Amino acid sequence: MKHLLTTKELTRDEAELILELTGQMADAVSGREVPKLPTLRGRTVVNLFYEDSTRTRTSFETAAKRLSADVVNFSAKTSSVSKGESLRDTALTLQAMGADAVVIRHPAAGAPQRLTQWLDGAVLNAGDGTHAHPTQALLDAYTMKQRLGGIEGRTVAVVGDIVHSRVARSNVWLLSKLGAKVRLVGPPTLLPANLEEWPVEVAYDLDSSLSDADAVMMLRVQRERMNDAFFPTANEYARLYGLDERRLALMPDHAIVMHPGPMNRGMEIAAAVADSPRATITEQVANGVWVRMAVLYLLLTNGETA
Amino acid sequence: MVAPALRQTPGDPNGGKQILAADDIGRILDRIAHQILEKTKGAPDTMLLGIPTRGVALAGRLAERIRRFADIDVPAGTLDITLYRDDLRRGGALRALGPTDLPQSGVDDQRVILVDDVLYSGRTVRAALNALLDLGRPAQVQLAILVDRGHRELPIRADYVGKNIPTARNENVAVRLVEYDDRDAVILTGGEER
Amino acid sequence: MSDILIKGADLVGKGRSDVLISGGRVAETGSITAASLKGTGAEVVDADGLVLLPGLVDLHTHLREPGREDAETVRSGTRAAAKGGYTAVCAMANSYPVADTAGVVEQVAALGRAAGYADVQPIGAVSVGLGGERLAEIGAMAHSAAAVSMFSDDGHCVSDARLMRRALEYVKTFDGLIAQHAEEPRLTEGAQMNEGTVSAELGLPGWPSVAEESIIARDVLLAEYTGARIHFCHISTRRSVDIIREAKARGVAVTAEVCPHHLLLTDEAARSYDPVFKVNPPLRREADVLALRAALAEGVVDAVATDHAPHAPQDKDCEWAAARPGMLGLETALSISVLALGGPEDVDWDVVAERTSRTPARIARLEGHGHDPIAGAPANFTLVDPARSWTVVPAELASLSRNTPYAGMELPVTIQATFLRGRATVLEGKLVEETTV
Repeated sequence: MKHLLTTKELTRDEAELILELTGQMADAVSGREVPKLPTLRGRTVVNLFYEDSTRTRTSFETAAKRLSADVVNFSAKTSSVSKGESLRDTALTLQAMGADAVVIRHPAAGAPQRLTQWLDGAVLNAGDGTHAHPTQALLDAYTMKQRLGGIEGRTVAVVGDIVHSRVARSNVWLLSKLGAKVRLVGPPTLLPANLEEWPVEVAYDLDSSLSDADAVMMLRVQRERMNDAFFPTANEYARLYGLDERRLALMPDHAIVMHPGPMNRGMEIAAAVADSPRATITEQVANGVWVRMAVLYLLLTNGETA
Repeated sequence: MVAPALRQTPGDPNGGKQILAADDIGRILDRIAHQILEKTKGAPDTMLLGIPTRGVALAGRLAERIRRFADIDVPAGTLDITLYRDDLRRGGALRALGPTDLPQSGVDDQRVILVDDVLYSGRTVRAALNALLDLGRPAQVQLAILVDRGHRELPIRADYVGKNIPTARNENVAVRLVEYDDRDAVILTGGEER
Repeated sequence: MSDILIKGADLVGKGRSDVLISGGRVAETGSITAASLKGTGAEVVDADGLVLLPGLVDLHTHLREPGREDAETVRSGTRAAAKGGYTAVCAMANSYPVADTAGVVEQVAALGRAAGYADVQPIGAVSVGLGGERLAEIGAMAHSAAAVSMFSDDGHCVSDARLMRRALEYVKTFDGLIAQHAEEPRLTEGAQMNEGTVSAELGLPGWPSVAEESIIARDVLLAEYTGARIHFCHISTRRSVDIIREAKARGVAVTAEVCPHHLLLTDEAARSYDPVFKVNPPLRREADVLALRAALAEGVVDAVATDHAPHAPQDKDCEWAAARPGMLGLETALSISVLALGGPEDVDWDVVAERTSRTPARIARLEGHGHDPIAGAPANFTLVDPARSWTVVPAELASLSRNTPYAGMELPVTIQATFLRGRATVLEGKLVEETTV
C-alpha cells in the first residue's frame, strides 16, 4: 500500500488489517503515561486542505502527532480550483520540502490521484469532491465492528443525499467488501442515476428500510439542495427521510445510529435521536484518530516511501 | 564452498547445526529461574515481560518454573515493540502489531524483567526499553536472554544469559519452541563451514 | 510550381493508376511513363502500395488563433492538419475575439492562406460573443471575403429555441448552415463526464446523454418546420443516431458528424482522472461507440470531424474539474476512422473517402475539395500507406499542444503525402518545410 485514495482499491485483507491495527493503536495509546509513540519520529506529514474541515484536519493532526510525526498545515485557502497556485505547483513545492505523507482534502474529485503523479510521498485522501473519503468509511466500519461485534452479514442502511456524498461512496465499497449488505435510501433525485453495478440495494422509502437494519447511517443534507430542485422543502425532506424517535422505534433494539457529522439537527436527524445512547456519533469521532494512526503507520512504515 | 546439503543435520529439514537440544533449553531455563530468585531475593514486585514472538513463551516458562521452585507468583506479560523499532523506514511487508498485555499491577514501581530469545545488536532491547518507559516508571529493569550471539551495536548487556554462542554476522540463530514450532531447539544456519 | 507524377497509386474504387498533376490540377490519369515526361521536370512520387484519397476535410477544428496562440496557431494547426492528410479545415468560431464579425473571419482565412498548409474556412458565430442572445452579423460574414456558409456557437449550445429558429430561417437567404453543439445547458450544469456507472463511482457530475438527444430532437423539428439545413456537431450517443436516422428517413435536411474519440474511447478512461480524457461532449459507453461506428458505416452519420481542441499544458496538468475539455485530433483522425470502419485489412476506402472528404466538403460548400482524381479536378489529395502502423508520440506531433488521448497507442495506416492544389505539404510522412503559397 503506497497511498490511500479510495476504499474500493483496498483488498479485503488490507481493510481488515487496518481495522485490526486501529484497535491496536487505541490499546497502545489509551490510558498510558505518555500517550505518544515514537514510531514516525522525523517524518513529515503535510495537511493540505483546500476545504475547511477543522474536524478532519484536527483528527489527522492528532493521529500524526500521537505517532511523533512532524505536522505541517499547508494552508491552501482558495475556494475555487481554478484560482491561485496550481495543484501541480503545490505538489512540487511539497515534494521539494520533503513531505513523507500528504493528507489532502480537495473539492475536486480525483485531486488526490492526480497528486500521486507529482509526489514521491504517500498521499492520503481526506475527502475529494463527491468521490471518496476512505478514512471516514474505515472509522465507520471500526465503530460498527465494536458496537455490533462484526460487519459480515450485517445490514447497513445509508440514508439521504447519496449522490453528493463521498462518505456514502466509500462506505458502499468498504462495507460490501467486508460482507455487509448495504442499502441506499433516499429520493431518486439524491441517488446516483446508474446504480446497477453497485453492490447495493436501493430503496426510496425509509420506514420499510429500518426493521432489519443493524446500523442506520444518516448523511448530512444541505438545505441549499432544495433550491436546486433535489427536494421541495426542508420540512418535506425531514418528514420523509429524517430519523426521528418514531423511526428509531422501528429499528431493532441492537441497531445503532451513525452520522459522519456535522449534523443538521431537525433535518436528517432529530435531536433526541442524535443524543440517544444508540447514536455512535462521538465514538466515531474518537475512533477517527485511531484509524488515521493505523493508516499513517501503514503508509509510512512499509518501506515504499523511505 | 560446500554444498548446503552437506551441512544439514540429519532429520532437520531446514538445514543448519543444532546448538541446543530440548534438554539443554530446559536446563538453561531452570538455571535462569533460580538466578532470578537469587538475584532479586525472592522476586517481590517483579514481572516478566516477553518480547514477541518467542520471548513471550520464554517469559511464561520462567514464571511457571519460579512458581514450581519457590511457590512464588511472578506475573508474565507481553510487550510489543513494533511501534518503537528503528528500522520501520527500511520496509518490509504490511504487518499488524503484536498485543501488549501487561499484568494487572502495571509497570509503575515494579521490577520488570524483559525476556527475549536472542540478544544480538541490542536494538530490540533498546526499543523495548523505550516502549516500557512510555508505559510507566518501573523501579528496575532487567534483561533475561536465552542466547547471546554477540555483535552488539548498543551498550546493552543481559542480566541473565542462557548461553553465549559466538557467531559470524552472516550466520543466523533460530530458536524453536514447542509453543510455536515442532520442538525445542536452537539452530545455527548460514555462514561458511566452521 | 513543377508538375508531379504520382506513380502506381491505388485510386479508390478505380484500381491502380498514375496521376499527373500540373498547374494545381489533375492533368491525366492512367498509365503514364516517366520517360514520356522527359523535359517537363515533373517530380515523381512513388505511390506503390499507397491509397490515394481526396484530401481530407475537417468540419470542426479549433485553431485557437486569435487569442490562444500558446495552444495553437493557424499555422501550427494547419501543419498538423496537413500531417493528418487534411487539405481543408473549418475553423470554429470560439476564438478571442469570437469570430462573430466579418473582420475576424477574414483575418482567420488570411492567416490560413499565409501559412499555406491547408485551406482554412472560418465558421462564423451564430450569436454575438457566443452569448446565445442576439444573432451575430451572419449576413456580413457570409458576404465577406471569407464567404462563410457555416455558423456555429460550438462550445455552447444555441439553447434558446426562438434564437435557433431565427438563425435557421435567416441562413436560408444564402443557403447557409447552422452547426449545432447539442447540449441542453440546464441538464449539464457542472457536468464533467458522461453520466453513468463510472461517473456515479468517480463522483464526477454527470453529462446525461439526454441533454444532447433532447436538443437534437428539438432542432430536427425546427429544421423541418423552417425548411432550413441543420448540421449536428460531434454527436456522441446511440439515441442521437436514432433520432437523426428517423429525421433523414423523413427527408429533413439534417447532417451529422462524429469525432474520432467517440468512435474509439469510452468513459472508462476517466477512471485515471487524467484530464486528457476530458472532452465535451464526453466519452460515452461502449454501446454508444458501437452505434456510432455502425451509423458512420451506414451513412446516417455523414462525416468524421476532429473537434481538434489544443490546450496549453497548464489547462490539462491539473484537477479534472479545473481542466478545459477537448483533445487533439487532426493527426490521428484518419487512423481512428479506419479502425472504426473495420480496420486496415477490411476497411472500404471508398467509405473512408466519403466520410472524411467528399461529404464534409459538400456540407461546408468547399468547392475545391473532396474531388477524386479525374482530369481537371483540383489536386487536393492525400496518400495513405494502409500497411504501415505508427505509434503516437505526443512530442512528435505538429500541433503546438500535446493533449492527445492516444499517447503510446499503436494506430493503423500512415499519411505518406498530402498535396494542396498540386503542391506537396507532406512528403514521405514529413511536413514540407519551405512551403509558401
